[in-house]
Amino acid sequence: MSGPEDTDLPGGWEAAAAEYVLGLLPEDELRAFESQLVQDQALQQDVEAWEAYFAAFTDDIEEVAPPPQILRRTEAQLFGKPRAPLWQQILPYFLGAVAAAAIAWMAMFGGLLQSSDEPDLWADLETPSRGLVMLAHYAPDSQTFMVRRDAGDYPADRSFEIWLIADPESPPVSIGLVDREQLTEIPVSDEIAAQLPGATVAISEEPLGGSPTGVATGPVLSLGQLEPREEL
Amino acid sequence: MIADPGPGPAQQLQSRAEAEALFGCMAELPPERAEMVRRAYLEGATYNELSDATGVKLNTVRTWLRRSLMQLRECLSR
Repeated sequence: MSGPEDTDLPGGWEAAAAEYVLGLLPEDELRAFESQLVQDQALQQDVEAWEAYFAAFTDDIEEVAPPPQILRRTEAQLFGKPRAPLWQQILPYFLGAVAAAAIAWMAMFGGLLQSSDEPDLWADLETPSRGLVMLAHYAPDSQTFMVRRDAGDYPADRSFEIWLIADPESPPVSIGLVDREQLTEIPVSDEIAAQLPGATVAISEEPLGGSPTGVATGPVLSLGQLEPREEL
Repeated sequence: MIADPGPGPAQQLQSRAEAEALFGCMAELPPERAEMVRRAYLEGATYNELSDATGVKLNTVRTWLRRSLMQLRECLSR
């Protein structure tokens, strides 16, 4: 016989049989023991006897699950290494669920799903005597008020100011100045945004930098009512 | 087929005898070595863990335990 008897450990194969049943054999010796076991009938009887005796340890315990060393040995043979704890196994699924919930939340509250609720609003603002053609456009998605100047000159020493006239009784409220570039984009407050549907917008000509008093001081160039449109 | 009918009366009697023999022979071992055998079986303790728990070198633990197992075997075969 070779194996455990080659070492100075006491007991030889017979002690190894008990270690085997206890799950104490080191990995390398385990393989040597099992190849000996298949051809050594006396060793098989030893293993069976140890299993029967050690089973008495669990007689008092109402337990169906195998003792841990059997489970570990079986899993080592099946999977090659100890299994990861349960939380590590389910972690990827958990993270996926969290990501999905986060995306759903952002879609709900980030405005992605709002677009169909509130229509865009448009108003033509034209001043034929000055050759000015402007288009006002409010986009609820981004809560941005835009004015596109399609034709006409912007006087270098004057400013065009945009006014919101929510109803005939209310004084006009300034939304901002028309930019000297072709496209003006002005983010508006919640308060103004709420008044925009159906409101009138006006463009007035003001001193450079806009009205100094907070109310329109110069001539009104054009008026238009903000309304949804079928197409641009 | 009925799954897992459990041990019959004869098997239970034999288990009873094996249990008495095991506990009787375990009582003959030095208590700390009997505890190692018990922990290895019931808790799946490894030589490393037994060595850490007792503060005894791994090779020494293994030598002790194998001698104890041989002593146990000799007692059980009486």
